[in-house]
Amino acid sequence: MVQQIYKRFNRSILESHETQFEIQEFKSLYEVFEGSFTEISLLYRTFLERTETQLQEIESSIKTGDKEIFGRIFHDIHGASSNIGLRLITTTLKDMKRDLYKENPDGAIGHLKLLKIALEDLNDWLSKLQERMQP
Amino acid sequence: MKSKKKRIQPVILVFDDNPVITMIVKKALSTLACEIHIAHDLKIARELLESNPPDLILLDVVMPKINGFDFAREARKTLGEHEVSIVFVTNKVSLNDLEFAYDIGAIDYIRKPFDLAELKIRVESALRLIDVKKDMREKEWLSGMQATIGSVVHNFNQPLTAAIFSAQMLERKVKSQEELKVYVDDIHRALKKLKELIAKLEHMDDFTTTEYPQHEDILDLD
Repeated sequence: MVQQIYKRFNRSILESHETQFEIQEFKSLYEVFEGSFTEISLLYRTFLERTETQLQEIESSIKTGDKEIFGRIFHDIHGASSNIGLRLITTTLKDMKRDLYKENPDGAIGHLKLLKIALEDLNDWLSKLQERMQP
Repeated sequence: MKSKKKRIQPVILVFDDNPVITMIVKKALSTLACEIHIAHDLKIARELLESNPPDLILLDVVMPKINGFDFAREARKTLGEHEVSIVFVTNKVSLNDLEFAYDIGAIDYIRKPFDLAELKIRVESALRLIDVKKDMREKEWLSGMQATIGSVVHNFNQPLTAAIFSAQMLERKVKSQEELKVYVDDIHRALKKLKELIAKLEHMDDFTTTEYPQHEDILDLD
């Protein structure tokens, strides 16, 4: 049953946003949440809202060069994004950190912009999810 | 002697400032027979330590206001004699961090991102370990109780037997007032001894035992 729902779920919208997701991670998450669209979308919505605020703090820390604040927020977003299979966000975060630690704040800001786009894509995916799953 | 104490469910405190992580952890552990409490900030975590003393804490390391290592030490202090096991769940994984975590008494260290099935297996294993420790403590307690009860029986038996014997003698053999006084004095002594033993038991906060051949260890009341 779970497999069937997953296939429907996957076919419907996951593939159109494939670059966002680590499919294996997503599958395992999907199984733990027993295919509950409500809980899964709540999980991603929570991540999205928290991360949008944190990116503002990240931007300030890049501009001021405060690596302590940057490190704490990086740790937070990275831990969550990698655990919910958000591959694009996880890899972009790592690239942003590499640039900042190589004293390349412009590069870090560039990756921050990519992160914002990835979040918009996630938001778009969530809206489609909600639309499709409405009875 | 068998314990009739009802085994209560272990309590797990998950302390991570990121709600995404706690949502996943809670869901992944939802099929385990345990009580799960979630804290996203220090204030709630401290309140939960007091109101629902945990047997196991799943703890992030990097958090605002307090880091996981400091919280682990604080939790042990707050919980006092209530034994708590700590498992760190974090992506802070330097060798020094690992060493430090085990130095302050962690029993496991789970790296983020964690596999949900693996997380469940490791928590189950931690809960089994806690259960074994509880069993051992219970056996120690039962053994202490056995010694106490053995001692009470042993110590109370002597003056009681003496009192009963004297009462029987009174009933059967007393012919004069002098003889009566001897037996009544014996009964008084025996009853006084019983009273002293009861007073000692009431105020006992530490005990030592003496090993008697062919017997369980017997508590020293003298």
